[in-house]
Amino acid sequence: MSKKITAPKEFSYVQTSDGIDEFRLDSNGLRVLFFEDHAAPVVNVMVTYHVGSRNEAVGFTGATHLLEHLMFKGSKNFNKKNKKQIWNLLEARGARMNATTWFDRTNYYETIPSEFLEDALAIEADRMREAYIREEDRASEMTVVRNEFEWGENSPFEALDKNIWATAYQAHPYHHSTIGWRSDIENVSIKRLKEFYDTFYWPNNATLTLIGDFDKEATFSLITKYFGKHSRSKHDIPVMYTTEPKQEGERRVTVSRTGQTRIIGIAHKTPEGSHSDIHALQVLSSILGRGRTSRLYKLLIDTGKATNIMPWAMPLHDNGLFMLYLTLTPNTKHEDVEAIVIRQYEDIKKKGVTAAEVAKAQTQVVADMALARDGYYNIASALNESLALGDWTFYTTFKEKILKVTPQDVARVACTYLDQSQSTVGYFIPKKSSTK
Amino acid sequence: MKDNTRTTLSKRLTESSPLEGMRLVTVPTNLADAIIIHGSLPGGDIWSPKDNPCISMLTVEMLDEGTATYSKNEIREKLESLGASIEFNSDSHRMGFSIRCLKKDASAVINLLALELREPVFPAKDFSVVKARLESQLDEELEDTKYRAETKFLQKLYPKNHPNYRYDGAALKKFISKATRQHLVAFHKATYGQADAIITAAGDIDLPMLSDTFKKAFAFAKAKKINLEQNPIKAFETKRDTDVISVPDKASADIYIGAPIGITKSHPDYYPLLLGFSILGGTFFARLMNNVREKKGLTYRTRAGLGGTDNNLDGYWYAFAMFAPEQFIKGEEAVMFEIENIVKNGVTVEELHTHKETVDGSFKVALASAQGMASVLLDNAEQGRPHEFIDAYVPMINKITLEEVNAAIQKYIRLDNIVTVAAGSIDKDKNPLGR
Repeated sequence: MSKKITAPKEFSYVQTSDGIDEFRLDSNGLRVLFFEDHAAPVVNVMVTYHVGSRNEAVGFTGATHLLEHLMFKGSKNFNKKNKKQIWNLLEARGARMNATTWFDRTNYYETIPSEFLEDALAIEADRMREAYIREEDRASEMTVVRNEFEWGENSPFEALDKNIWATAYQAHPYHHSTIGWRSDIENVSIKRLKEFYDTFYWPNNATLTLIGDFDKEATFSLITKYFGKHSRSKHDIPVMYTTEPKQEGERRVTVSRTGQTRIIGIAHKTPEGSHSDIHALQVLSSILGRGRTSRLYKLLIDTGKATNIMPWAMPLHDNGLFMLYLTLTPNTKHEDVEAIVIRQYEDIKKKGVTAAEVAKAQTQVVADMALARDGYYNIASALNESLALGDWTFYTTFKEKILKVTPQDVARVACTYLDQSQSTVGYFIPKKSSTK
Repeated sequence: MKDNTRTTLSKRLTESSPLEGMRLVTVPTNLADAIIIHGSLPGGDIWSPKDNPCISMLTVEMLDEGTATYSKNEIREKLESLGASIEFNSDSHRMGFSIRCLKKDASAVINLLALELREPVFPAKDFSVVKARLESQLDEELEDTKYRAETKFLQKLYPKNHPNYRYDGAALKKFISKATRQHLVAFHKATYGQADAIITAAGDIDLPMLSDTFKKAFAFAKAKKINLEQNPIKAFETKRDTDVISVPDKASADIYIGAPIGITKSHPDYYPLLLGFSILGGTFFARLMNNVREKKGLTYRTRAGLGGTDNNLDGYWYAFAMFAPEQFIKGEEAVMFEIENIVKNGVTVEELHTHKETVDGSFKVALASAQGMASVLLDNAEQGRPHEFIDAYVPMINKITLEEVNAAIQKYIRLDNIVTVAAGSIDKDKNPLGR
């Protein structure tokens, strides 16, 4: 018999999926996810804001990420002046903590010994609405973020990846990477950042996730105490309405820099993360490039044409990309590898995949899901990505939906989405150095 | 809230010996239906032939390319159809393996591991492909400014025959190119087939099954097949020195600063010094991140710590940072200021208290997963310590005094023997290369 889920009067119970309970703090609309487990004396606290670089536009690309940095600079009750700085209160007590920004979300998290749970909740609640967003902090942090951008630019892979996204998307903000363009990082004003904060950082645009060793009843009280003091936003959270126009033909991009590395990236447009074809696309990606028995590993790595293969088909909030990156060996031509990959795509479109290939991909998912439950952060992180695409139960229902995928589904999605006219192909080509 | 008194890990684990020489350490965790296994055996780089230090690494790279019983594709198919993985690795002293699989498949996966260790055939054709792949990866590392700075830094600290020395890409490519299948066969014959493994497993544990499987699967292995001789080679007596590696077209440059410390982990000064480096650059709120990043905005990442002290080796201290070429000189000065300041003025009581608390909490967090548990247990056992050391670690750290930390900093950070290596788009004077 299933246990009845109860919540204090301040909260509404919404749903349960795979042992994770969803509640809503009624006064301000904060979504709360609970997964209680007492195997280790630690707890993961994560706040996901439903804002990412898809909410940016020309002139303030990278603003979400820069703002994420400023969120560590102090808030009304946790700041340098009162000697209660965030890192000193959490990392100093052993927390594994940080924040990340991506296309569709921004998250702040800490895995901490559970006796410090109240501190973590108090800090997250304080910076939700009371963060200092100050010019003096922007000025010093801008150069830090710019160095993060420069560090990314050192990587041939990142340089090519940015260019492929920028070529595949013309109107939609997936066009620019989360770190933003250098000139925007340098010039975005504190006024713009503050506006961004005041537009999106509200309880009704956030999800608080707790995984691990906590007492549900006591934690409800703490959430009411700290997050309950915030009102919901007085404005509607703006909806990002730009859609990418239909692509009318293959696109190609080349990045050439001094060095040795040679990479090819091939990307095809896919539907939004909530689309029913997403699970078949995951299986297709696995059959093509996951593990040493995948089709392309055998064709390209085992034959010495490439050193590394990276399939990527992560579902996003809006239309995404089905991508494949290959790092080539010195004597292999980009064109030859591209031809092999495309031939394989055409082969699947024509002949489909075998039941054994689908079964193997499904087994891998079952094992992955079991192993991914190792550690509270891992569970919170998987939930975070599902929240980003708009439905946290994407995570809890993923296995069940993958197990329903058939070989026919895989062949169908290959025919639908691996269409040359919807592709973007990128080459990273090394050029000879002029400096010794 | 449940009882959060300190977990005594040594009482939660079980150690058994399925075979003479083999140590199997298991800890049940809340990971349901799955298991994580780590293990290692003597057989790292120091066992390689003197004229080719890559043979150990190449042997490890070839273990999953086929056995006498199964071809590489058969082995890979068996593993991947279970959703399982076996990964191999090697370092200066040991070769290691790790398994991730469902509990129900653990026996089958361990048997495959044993086959890969017992009877690899090193097919010549696949060896050529693996060599070409590794050479290509080394070419890619030429573009990694951090890797290049660190490699040169270690070369300036240690002679070639010291396990902490690191060959650069060009040298490694030559070694790889000279290696033959026969080298691997000979190395495997001389070094593998040992029972002297340390194996740690965490997750959904079935101890009788694990013990029985390891006993049967590794029945071929012999105890005490190879013996470790202590390394007599020590680090260089360094002098203050700087090297710059100019790499064009890089938006960010990296710097390593440091020197040999001449002591191992078992030296009484080691943990006081470790705490000192934690305060200098071990955390986000440590001095380097707080002052060079937070206050001055010069870098995204800077760290300091101790390295090269595993396997009873004489290690080194280091500080690392990355800067835009235009900020490089200013950045290096800021890091050096923090190093000189900690030597001159020491650390404070408050800093020491805070960093002790960090050690306590981070230990709890590290042990809160099967992956973390298996790794910590293996690392501890590889260093020859009893399991009780893990439980005694935090109390031991808490006993260290301010005087001990400051004395260790004064003794081991000598301003006259610091080696600096920078790599990036900067010239020999550390000014930006013309773009």
